[in-house]
Amino acid sequence: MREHAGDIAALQSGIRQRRPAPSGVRLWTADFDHVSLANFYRGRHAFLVLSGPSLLTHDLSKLSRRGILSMGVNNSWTVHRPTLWTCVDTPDRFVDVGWKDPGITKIVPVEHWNSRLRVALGEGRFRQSQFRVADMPGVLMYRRSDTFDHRSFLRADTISWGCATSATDSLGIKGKRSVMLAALGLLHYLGFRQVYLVGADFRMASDCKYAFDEHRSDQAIRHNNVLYESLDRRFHALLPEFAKAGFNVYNCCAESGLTAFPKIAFDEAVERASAECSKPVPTDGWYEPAKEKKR
Amino acid sequence: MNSRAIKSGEVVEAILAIEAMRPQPRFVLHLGAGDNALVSALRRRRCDGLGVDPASEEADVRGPIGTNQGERVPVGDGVADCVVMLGATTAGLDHAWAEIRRVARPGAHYLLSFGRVPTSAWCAARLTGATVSRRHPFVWGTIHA
Repeated sequence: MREHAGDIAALQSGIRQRRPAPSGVRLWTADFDHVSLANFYRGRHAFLVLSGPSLLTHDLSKLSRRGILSMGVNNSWTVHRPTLWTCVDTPDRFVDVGWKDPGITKIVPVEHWNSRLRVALGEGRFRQSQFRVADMPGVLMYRRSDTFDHRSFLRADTISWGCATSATDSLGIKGKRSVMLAALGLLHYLGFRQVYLVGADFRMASDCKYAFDEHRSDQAIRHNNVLYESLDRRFHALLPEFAKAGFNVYNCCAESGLTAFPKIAFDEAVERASAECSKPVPTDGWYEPAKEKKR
Repeated sequence: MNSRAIKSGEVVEAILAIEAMRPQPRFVLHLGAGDNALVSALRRRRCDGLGVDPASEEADVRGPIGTNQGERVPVGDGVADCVVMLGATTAGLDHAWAEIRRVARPGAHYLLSFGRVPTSAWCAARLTGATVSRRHPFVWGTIHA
C-alpha cells in the first residue's frame, strides 16, 4: 500500500534530527515491546495524587479541567480517577476496577507483569481474579532500582523506590522504600517539570490513616511515620538535584509533615496548571484555510 | 575476560556494530559490563539490555559472566537478541561460549572483542561464519541453534 508522501518526507526529516534520548529509562508494554517516553510531556504540570486523608478536603473535580493531568498511586484511584497511575507493591493490593479502566495508563514494575489481581467479595473477603496485570489495558512497565542515591536519582536508567531492607542509601538511611519516590522519578522522566502533591499528609494516626477505608495496625502506623521522616530527609537531599533539573515540586497539603517542598494552595495549583488551556475558545473559522503566513 | 576498563572508543564502535546488525537487536546482554556504559548508551538509542559484571557496582546485575569453568550467568535461557563481550580472552571465551549460547535467542547476534586480534584459525574453529574485523578488533556473527 502506498504511503502518504508527506508523511514519508516528514518521517525522514524527523529521523535526521533525532538525538539520543535524554534518559536511559525504557518502558515496556505488556507484549514486551519497549519504548522511550523520556520528555513525553515536555515541561508540563502534573498533580501527584497520594493517599493521605487531606485528599478529601479538596475539590478533586477540578483535576478534570483542561490542561490538568494527574498521576495516582496505590488505591488513591478509588478517590480520584487519574490519567496516569503507578505502584511498587504487589498488584493484588489495588482495587481491580482501576486496573480494568482503559482511561488510566498504569506504569507498573516489570516484576508484576504476570501477577494476578484480586476481586473483592464484600465483608473483607477476596478471591483471586482470573486476570493478570498483562491482561489489563494501558499497562506500561518500568524497571526499579533497589538503591537510592540522591546524586543520581534523576539520571539513573532505572526508577528508584528506595533501598532494600538490608541496604543503606547515600544519606545513611537503611531500607525505606516508597511508591512516592518511584512516582516522582517517573514524572520527571516523562518530562513534567511542575508537580503538585495532593494527599501528602506525611502523618498517620489510628484515626487518620488514608483518604479511603483501610485498616492499619499500630505497628504499621509507626512504620509509616518513620518512613515519612526518612523520605523527608531524602527529599531535602534531592532539592539541589531537582533545582538543577528544573524539576519543581509543591505540596498542596497545608498541615503536611513533609517539609522539603514549598506549600501551595490547591486552588492556586489548579489555576497554574490549567492556565495554558483555560481560555475560552471560539470555534468558528478553524476549518477555513489559514490566511497567516506560515513560518 | 580480563578486568581491564572498557575504553570509550570501544563502546562507540560496539554501538555502531550493534546498530548495523539486521534484524536490529532489541535486547542486548553485555557480559563484563564494567560501568555499564554500553548498555546505558544503547538505552538512549532505541535498544534495551542488561549489563552483567562480577566486580562492578554500576552494572545492572552483579554476577559471574561464565568465563570460569562452571560459572552460570544470572540470566534466563533465550533472552538476548545480542550478546556482547568486550576484552575477552580466548581461554575465557572457551568457557563462556556455552553460556552465551544458552542466554541467546536462536538467531541472536554476538559481538566479541579481544585484547588483540584473535587468530583466524581460533575463530574458524569455534565461531562458525564469524566476521573478524582487523581494525577494531571485533568478531561478530549469528548464533545458530
